[in-house]
Amino acid sequence: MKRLIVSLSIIAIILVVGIFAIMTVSNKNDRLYGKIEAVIEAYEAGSGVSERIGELERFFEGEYARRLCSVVSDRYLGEMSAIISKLRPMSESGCDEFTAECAALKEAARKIYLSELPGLERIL
Amino acid sequence: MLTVFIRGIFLYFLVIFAVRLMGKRQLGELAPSELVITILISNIATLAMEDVSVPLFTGIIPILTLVCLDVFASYASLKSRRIRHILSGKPKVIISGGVIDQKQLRALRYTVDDLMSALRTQGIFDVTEVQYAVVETTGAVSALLKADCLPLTPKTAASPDTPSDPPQTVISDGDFIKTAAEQLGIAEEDILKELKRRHLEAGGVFLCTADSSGKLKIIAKKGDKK
Repeated sequence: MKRLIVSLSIIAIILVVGIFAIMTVSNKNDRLYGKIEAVIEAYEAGSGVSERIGELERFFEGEYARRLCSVVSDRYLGEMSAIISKLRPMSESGCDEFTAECAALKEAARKIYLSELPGLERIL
Repeated sequence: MLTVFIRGIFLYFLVIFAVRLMGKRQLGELAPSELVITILISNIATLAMEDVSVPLFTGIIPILTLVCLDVFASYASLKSRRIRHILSGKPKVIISGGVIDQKQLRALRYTVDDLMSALRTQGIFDVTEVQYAVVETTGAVSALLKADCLPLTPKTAASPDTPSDPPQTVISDGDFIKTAAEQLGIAEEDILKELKRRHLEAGGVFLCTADSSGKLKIIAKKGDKK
């Protein structure tokens, strides 16, 4: 009986941790989207892009990647980190693909969120 | 390097906890479900230990889930004979009354060599000395020697030299096993009558065994009258 209670407790903890992970990813993604939008707006306005990219980098390294590394594979975070590292030189050179890279960053974050949702297509 | 080292230490304690949670049965002979879980745990633990790009939680969660499922399955097996048989299978009688059940051996895909080898591990080198043998759910063979081949003890010295199969379980944890009673040639009514004489019902019996002579041994459930 003791083992059964321990097992039920473990399953309950796993479910709580799983739901908490989804909520954390969703929350961090919302904040990341906000930072990306701020970068795009600054780029279109033509002022303060460097500061906004700096904020995005600090948020990603200091909060996003640090909090999600216990949930998400390093591969996904590595892809996002590579995109963010390209933004500053692209904005300085006035590259046409700047907004496309920002969209790619959003898409990578969305993929992380989707990978946490227990959808049938991912289970199968 | 240090990450793998620390992961290794963490997973070592996790797997020990997991095996302890599964219980002492795990350390002896493995039932089919336990064997599957042991193989899966060892594989998952290795992957989580080696691949540092994958979060440790992706190794911990499946290990704990499998162990918890094993505990649930054990609990369900304890409560239901049907689930026990689905998960662990049934013991199969391969020799009864000194006669080898060849059909059963074929069904089990047991060759004569397998049978002889299993008997030899029990110190039996002549199959004709075996009165009764069962293939347990773990795959091990349990054998009973014929009365004239048993070691001499006060009990065997006093008993008549007539070969008989060992007693069979006719009531297990309140469940009446009709097939066992039929095999022994005992009517269900006779057993129920004997229980009634002892002020018991089938549901109140923890274990009831019967031999071919109809002799019953009854253990009441704890708290019930015997």
